[in-house]
Amino acid sequence: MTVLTLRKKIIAGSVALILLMGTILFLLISIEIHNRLEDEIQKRGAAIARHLADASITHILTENSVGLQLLVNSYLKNEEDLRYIFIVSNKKEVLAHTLGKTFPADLLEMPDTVVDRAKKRSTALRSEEGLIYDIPALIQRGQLGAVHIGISESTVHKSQNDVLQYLTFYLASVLFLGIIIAFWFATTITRPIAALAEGVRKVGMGELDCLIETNSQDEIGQLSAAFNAMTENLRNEVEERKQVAEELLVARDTAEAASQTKSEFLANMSHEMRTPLTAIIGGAEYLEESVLSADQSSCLDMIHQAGNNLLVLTNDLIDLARIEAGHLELLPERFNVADMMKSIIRMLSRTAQSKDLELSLSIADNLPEFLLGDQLRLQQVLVNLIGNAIKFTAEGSVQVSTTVGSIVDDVVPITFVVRDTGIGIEPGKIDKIFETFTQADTSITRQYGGSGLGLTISRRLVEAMDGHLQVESKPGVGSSFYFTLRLRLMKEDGNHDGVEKLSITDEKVSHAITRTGEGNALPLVLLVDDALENRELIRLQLKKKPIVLHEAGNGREALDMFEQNEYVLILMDIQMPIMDGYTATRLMRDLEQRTGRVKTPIVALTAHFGDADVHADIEAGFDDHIAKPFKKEVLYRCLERYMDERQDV
Amino acid sequence: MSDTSDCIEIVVEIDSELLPIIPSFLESRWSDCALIERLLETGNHDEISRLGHRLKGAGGSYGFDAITDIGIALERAAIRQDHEAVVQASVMLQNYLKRVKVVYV
Repeated sequence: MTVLTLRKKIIAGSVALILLMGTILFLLISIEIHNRLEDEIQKRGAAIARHLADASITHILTENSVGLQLLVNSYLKNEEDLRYIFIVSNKKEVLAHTLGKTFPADLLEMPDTVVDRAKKRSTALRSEEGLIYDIPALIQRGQLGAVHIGISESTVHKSQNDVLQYLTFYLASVLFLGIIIAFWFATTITRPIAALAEGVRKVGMGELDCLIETNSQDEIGQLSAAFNAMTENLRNEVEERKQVAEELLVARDTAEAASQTKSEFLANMSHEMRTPLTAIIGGAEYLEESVLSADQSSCLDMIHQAGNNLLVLTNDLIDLARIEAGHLELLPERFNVADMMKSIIRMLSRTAQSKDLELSLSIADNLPEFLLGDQLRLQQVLVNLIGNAIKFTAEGSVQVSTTVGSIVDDVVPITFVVRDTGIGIEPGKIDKIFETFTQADTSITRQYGGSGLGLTISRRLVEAMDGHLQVESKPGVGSSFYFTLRLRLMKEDGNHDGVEKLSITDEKVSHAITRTGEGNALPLVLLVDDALENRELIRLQLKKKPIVLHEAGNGREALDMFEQNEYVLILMDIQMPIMDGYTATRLMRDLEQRTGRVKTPIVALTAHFGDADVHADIEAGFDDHIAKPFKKEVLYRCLERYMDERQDV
Repeated sequence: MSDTSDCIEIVVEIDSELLPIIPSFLESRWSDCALIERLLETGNHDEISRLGHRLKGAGGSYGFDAITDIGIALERAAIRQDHEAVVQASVMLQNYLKRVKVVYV
């Protein structure tokens, strides 16, 4: 449907009004002209008739019929609009006429005087060319008879047409002028309205610098001025808001930069903080082997314990700083959940043993073997929860279990539960335990130590993995921490036979892995580093360990040795000439896949410390990462862990 | 460096089981100082950075935490191609090597 603009509407309305008025005026004028001309013609006819009546008296009195006829003929000839003339005696005898040989008898019926005296209208006869008015005039007051003339109305029409033709030209001119005025009027009215509408549209589109130019003082002018004022206010407000937003952005950027700086500072400080701590802990460990008095030994324990606590706190702080700085990146990989959990239990079994606690693991029979998830982060959470459970349990047990829900679209919901028979948490304090630097009771910190960051970090990590860490607890009875993760099923999955119960309390650590070709039963460890001094150092440090150490100076050499031997562990430097550690590890993983060899643990030795470096290591196929410089104990723990795992395999 | 500062010893206690490799380790660091000077002449910052990285990893592992710190400074300076900072780190290393006294425990 076509939408008419206001301007068109005004123009159409004005033109229609002008045309209507013009038409009415034209009709009224036409009627008035007709009436006036009709009156004129009748008056003229009456004058001719009277004049003829007077002229005919002599001819009638002298009975000069020829003269009378000549008179009638001359009148008819001289007056164009006369159609007929006839003269009748007072006895209604036709004395003369111009109607040819046959005189119409009905004309004698015409009255000798004007019928409508008020209007002075005569009788009209109809003819082919229109009305013919019969205008009579008495001769000698009727004593000698009467004269009748027939005058045609066509004269009226002709005169009327002449006048109207003349009038139409002027009327059309006036109408044309009126239409032009209507156009101008419409434009004058609608132009500021259109400008106003355009301004509103532009402001609506966000062009707040649009001002409507107007000089008029009428209502539209006032409206435009009000609109301009409103736009000005709006622009000022938007400017203010923009300024505030920019300030907020600057503040945000500053805060983010500060947070980034803080995070980088903490990450950079990790080395500076860890090195002296390592020295303190190492010194204490060294002194433990000396002969000390009871007080000295107690003091040394205190230093050792405090150093370890400080190291945990430092690591936790760095972790939390990374999470809060948004640097936490999940690295999903295919992993064996059951193997990971067994490894954790093994790691923590000695701590549990030292407190005479039973640490048990129950793995659901329908737990798939291989899943996709961030193994390192999940491991971190579970180590923290189980470590806490051991710490806060004086006697009884710590039970770790998994349950598996329905698998839909290859997504496996797994619930991890860590249940202990420890001190428990008061109902009112349960929410507080997840807060940063908060433990349920400050006395707990004094008694049990810890940074109070472990559960905060665990909760954040679980949330990052789309889970929610929850707790149920009764004081004096124990606590259960649990969370559910939805992990994607990977191929080559298999089910476990029944519920597996792994008792750790009587576990014996054994490093007995047999190997052929060396003529002994010691496991092989491959050390890959281009720096001879590093190899010498590690060689000395591992000298007393029940292993055979092979050494390679670059990735290429390591690859050759890897093809010929089976290692329980490979310690791989990253930056090396000829072939770096990343390439060598990738090629080793390819070889394992091609030949179906059991996956050999490869641990990166690097002086890089960042998360990105760790992720790059893991992506390259490394299982773990030791940051240089490292403590001897770190090397020992790493060796022990992978030897244990190989034993399980 | 003044003579006085050169006289101050830095005592570092090292595990006696590392005795066979410590002298050569420290000797290698003197070689590193000479190497840094040569690399600076050719503007080979990449190699200096790699050297710093090695010092960072090895120093603390041997028990010389200060060498790790100097290695970090050297690596960063080389990455920034900061000639002065590289020279400064090299001087720090030389001073440390002059003053360090190893006590085997």
